[in-house]
Amino acid sequence: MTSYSLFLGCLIPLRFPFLEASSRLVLDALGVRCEVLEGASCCPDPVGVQSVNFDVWLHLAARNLALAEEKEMDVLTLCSGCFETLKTAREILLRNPDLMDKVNEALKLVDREFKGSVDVVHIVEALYRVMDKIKGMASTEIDANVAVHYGCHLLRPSEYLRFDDPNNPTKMDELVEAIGARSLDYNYKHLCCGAAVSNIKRELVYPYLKWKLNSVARSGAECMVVACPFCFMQYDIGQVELGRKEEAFNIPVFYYPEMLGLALGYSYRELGLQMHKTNVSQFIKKHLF
Amino acid sequence: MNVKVSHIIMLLKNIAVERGKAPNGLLDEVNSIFKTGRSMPLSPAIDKRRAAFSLPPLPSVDVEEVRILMRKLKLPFNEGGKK
Repeated sequence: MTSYSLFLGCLIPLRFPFLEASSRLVLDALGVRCEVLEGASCCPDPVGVQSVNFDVWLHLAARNLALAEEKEMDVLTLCSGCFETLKTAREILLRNPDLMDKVNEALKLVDREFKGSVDVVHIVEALYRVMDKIKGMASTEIDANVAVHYGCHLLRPSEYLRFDDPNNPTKMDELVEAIGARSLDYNYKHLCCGAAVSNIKRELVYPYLKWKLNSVARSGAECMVVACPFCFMQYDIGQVELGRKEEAFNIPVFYYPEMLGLALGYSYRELGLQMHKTNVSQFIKKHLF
Repeated sequence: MNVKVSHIIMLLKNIAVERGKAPNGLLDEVNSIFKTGRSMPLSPAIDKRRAAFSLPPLPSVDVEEVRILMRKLKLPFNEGGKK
């Protein structure tokens, strides 16, 4: 049985606990064992905090990695931002011994040391590694056309993350197809969700959302599947905001573990799907009953 | 040299912040990490919401360790306040 240190991050446990619930349910069902990494701080955010101070970003990430090394278990993240930060920081430090020494000098102040002894894995990767088990255990076929959205931080910087081909990724498409859905090609599939800009000026995000959502709607997809809580927030809550301002969409948005949870037989309530802003229940009625 | 353009842009942004030019949203985020260890605040309502999904309360962050490291790096903020 695989064991990981579960790095919860900030956005999922604090704002979208139902995404944590669905993740824990499916990981447990598939025998992927996780222990919450205690004492960890914000990863920190690979865009905002790095923009403010690269050294702060690197040192706090190294401290989080050092905590996981003390547990001797690879880190599993639920958020693509946490994945990018922890994996990138690990790779930067391992490839730059002088920088690693400098960071470790600072970590001595808090009795920690980064050694690079544990890896960092995104939940989608952890699930991809047990895809055969998913195929064997999925009791409900999700017979639907799906628009997969990879987002940025799962794929790039690819020289550090090495999750998938950054220009032609397939792992998430394979995962949705493993539970019976059809992953469609569509324009703007790799367009950024705009979450990083959101923190600076929300209005700047709306054109990106419209391009993406129009393209998804035109493709014939009946829902979107994302890998990151920031992308989830952008498309789920963003559709409500767009509806109030200019253009209404009604495209259900699922975090992949939620859709997998449906395929494994978990209920709407167990997965917390009532917490979505977009209407998920119509999709479920059409495809699961 | 193998220096990436993205790294240069990031360092330019760091210099801009040192000179006091940064969006408030980013400064607020860093301040929140300094104060609580998290980028957004934890409240009793959140633990209640977590409990509704049978999730345990969030483990605490050792925020003093976070502050020690941030102070060491001469963070451009006073104790949680903006520059």
